[in-house]
Amino acid sequence: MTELDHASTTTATEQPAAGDRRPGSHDSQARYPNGVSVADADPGYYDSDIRGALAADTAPTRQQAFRDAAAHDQASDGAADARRDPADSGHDPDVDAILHENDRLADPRTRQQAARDAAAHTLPADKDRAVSDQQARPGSDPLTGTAGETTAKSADQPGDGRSPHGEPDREAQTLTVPDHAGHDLPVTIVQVGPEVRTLGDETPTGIGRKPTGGELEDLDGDRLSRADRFRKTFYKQADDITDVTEKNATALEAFLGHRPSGGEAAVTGHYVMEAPQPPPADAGSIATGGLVLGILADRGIHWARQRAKQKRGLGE
Amino acid sequence: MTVTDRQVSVLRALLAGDFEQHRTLRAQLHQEADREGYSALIAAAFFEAADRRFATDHSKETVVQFVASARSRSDDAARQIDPLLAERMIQGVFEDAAIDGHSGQELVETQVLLLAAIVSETAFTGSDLDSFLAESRKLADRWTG
Repeated sequence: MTELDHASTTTATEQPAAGDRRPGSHDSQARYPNGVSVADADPGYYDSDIRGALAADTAPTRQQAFRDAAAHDQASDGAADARRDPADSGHDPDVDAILHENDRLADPRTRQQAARDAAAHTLPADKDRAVSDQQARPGSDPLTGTAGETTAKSADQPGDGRSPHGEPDREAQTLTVPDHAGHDLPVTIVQVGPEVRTLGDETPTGIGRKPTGGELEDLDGDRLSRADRFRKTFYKQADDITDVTEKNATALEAFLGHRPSGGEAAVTGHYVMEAPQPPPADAGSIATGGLVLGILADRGIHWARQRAKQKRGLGE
Repeated sequence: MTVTDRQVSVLRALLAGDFEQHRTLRAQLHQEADREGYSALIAAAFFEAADRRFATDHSKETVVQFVASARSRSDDAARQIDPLLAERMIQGVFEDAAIDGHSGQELVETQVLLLAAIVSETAFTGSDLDSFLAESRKLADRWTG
């Protein structure tokens, strides 16, 4: 291309400072500081063949398309007299857009200013408190979690318990509750009176902090603690465990002998019954038993013979 | 040393009012082997019963009135139940209480008498009694374990 050939003959120019650089390569900026090349400015720059080819080429170049688009935008804004060729103005519209894209944003604010603005949009009573607190403690930062302190402090302040607007103050107090590890945890309890309820607010009034899961477990733990304490004082082993009830049998029967009917007066439990077993027979016992049986048999036979002789004697 | 089924059966027969059965089972207890478990079971059963009976009101007036009522049930009860010890024992279920100079035999006898007095006010069904003894056994196991 001729343009490239021309570029090779162009003397190098001094590079601008880094802050003055614009988009695009250094070569193109150096050669065309206004964004218009020599070929654009001088139609006679090209030779006749190239001019003919360019004339036959009706397709718009990228530069032409950009100029058309910029012109269309300016016309649509109703600023016909402001229509300028970007190449003539010496400013890149893309760069201008980047430089001015933040023009419509709000001014940057500090966190304290943002907090004041947020407080200004809250309830009137809260707004008054927030502003007064900010004035009293200019160094405080409501966005860092000091809202609880604010509430507690406002409740702690002496007064008639009503805000400047006549609304009753919310009662608040900070307690220290030990956690499972034994560390103290600050807990802020806010009790909202029925006067400050809003429509749809069904928060119960007059109720403090709900018991945590650990505290529910402690309810059973308290019973076990009492049981262990009772054991230390009142549990000792009896000297004679059978005498415990045997000695007091009459008194126990007086208590339990005529009990109110509970539907199942009879005991239906499964007892552990261990009936006493006869001792196993040894050799001596067997011999003794045999001797007794023998004597009994001998006496029986003797008696039977005597009876038979008597009958025979009577018969004779 | 854990509480055995036999020990639970002995106490269950007593609290159910089956004295003949209680005597039969009681005779099977071993004086040495069952001493700790059976003593702990009676103490734990008393704690459970008193904890339920006086949970809502364990004021001194209520306790004194209950002990007096228990002692009035029979001459033997009046003779066997030490009112001061009985009252402190009931209050000891809920708060600190101190006793001095009482042997283990006296403590267990008082506990079993008060236990019988409390149970006599309650219409225990068989399942209720089983549940009550199960809780008592659990506590006794905790004490002796």
